[in-house]
Amino acid sequence: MTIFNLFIYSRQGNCIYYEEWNRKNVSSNLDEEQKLMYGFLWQIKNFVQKSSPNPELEKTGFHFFRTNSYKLHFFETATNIKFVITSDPDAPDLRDLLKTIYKNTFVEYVIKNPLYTMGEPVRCELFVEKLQLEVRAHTSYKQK
Amino acid sequence: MNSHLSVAQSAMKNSGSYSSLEQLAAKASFSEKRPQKPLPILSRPIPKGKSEVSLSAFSFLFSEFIQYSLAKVNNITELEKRLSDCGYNIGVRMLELITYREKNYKRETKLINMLTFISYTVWRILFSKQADLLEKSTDQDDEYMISENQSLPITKFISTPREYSGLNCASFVAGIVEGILDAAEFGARVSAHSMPLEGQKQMKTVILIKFNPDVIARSNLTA
Repeated sequence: MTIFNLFIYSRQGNCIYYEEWNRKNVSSNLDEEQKLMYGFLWQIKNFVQKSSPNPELEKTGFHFFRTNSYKLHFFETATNIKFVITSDPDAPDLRDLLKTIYKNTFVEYVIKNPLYTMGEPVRCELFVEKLQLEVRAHTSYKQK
Repeated sequence: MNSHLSVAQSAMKNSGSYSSLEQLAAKASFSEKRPQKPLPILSRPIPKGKSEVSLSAFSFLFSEFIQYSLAKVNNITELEKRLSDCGYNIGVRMLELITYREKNYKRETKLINMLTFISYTVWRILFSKQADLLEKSTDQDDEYMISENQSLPITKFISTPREYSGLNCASFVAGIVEGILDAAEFGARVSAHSMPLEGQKQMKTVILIKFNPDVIARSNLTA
């Protein structure tokens, strides 16, 4: 099991943080990829909501999807910040990891940092450091 | 739950005098439990001061304060000045309060005692810990340093981006120290610096205290 990469999107839909770990294919255009990913998430979220038996329920976002080669986990906070992590298909549900990243790392070292402007790309050293610790310590991180 | 309650109540109504006694008892116990009216603030004793605030809540307040200040200044030096000025006013009041609460109205008159008072007593009250190290500068006679191996709790969540390099939000604490020293008649210039720690990634925080010449002259006389 292993973790490939992580995207964090602001509520405006900009990718404010991107990190990759054991990614196998190299992206030719990272910027384009991040935009595509957001468009895809937006579409799938809408579709999931529309096809739901009770579409009036606001929070019917999807949790993850899986293909033969990878699994994508999705977590959206109440403030519309989106966390996406991709892992290999055997990984368990990593939404807990996304929630701990949000709770223990993102809120602490980004939101509480006065020198960070909301909606801007995250360049806080402490955040990056703690995020690396968090992800590398996770059981799903170990390479095959 | 509600349905159970109403059943019980109707049962009580049916059983006449028994229920009224029961109700009286309930009323009596209720009046005993009623919270007492809090004392007016002037009648409360001052020494009751052992209270801690949530670091998280404080961080948000401090963060907002820095952002507000950041919008009002042109450069980093001005920002540090603003933080320090804010701390200064706190320091002046802190000394008053601590000498009353902890020192039995007595304040230190010796320079070294004053510095140990700051790095032990004041630090304990501000951060519930002692300062890691209090040292005298080897090449300057009037410089003392209080250093912390980790960042102070108030700057725990702050990472300084490259465009603000040199900014240390511990200037706020430096301001507090300056306020305390000034109120105790030890005029000094206090500043905060980050210094790399050997073998470790994180920076240590140093509060540098540079006393005015007259303070040093006085302490040499009394020594």
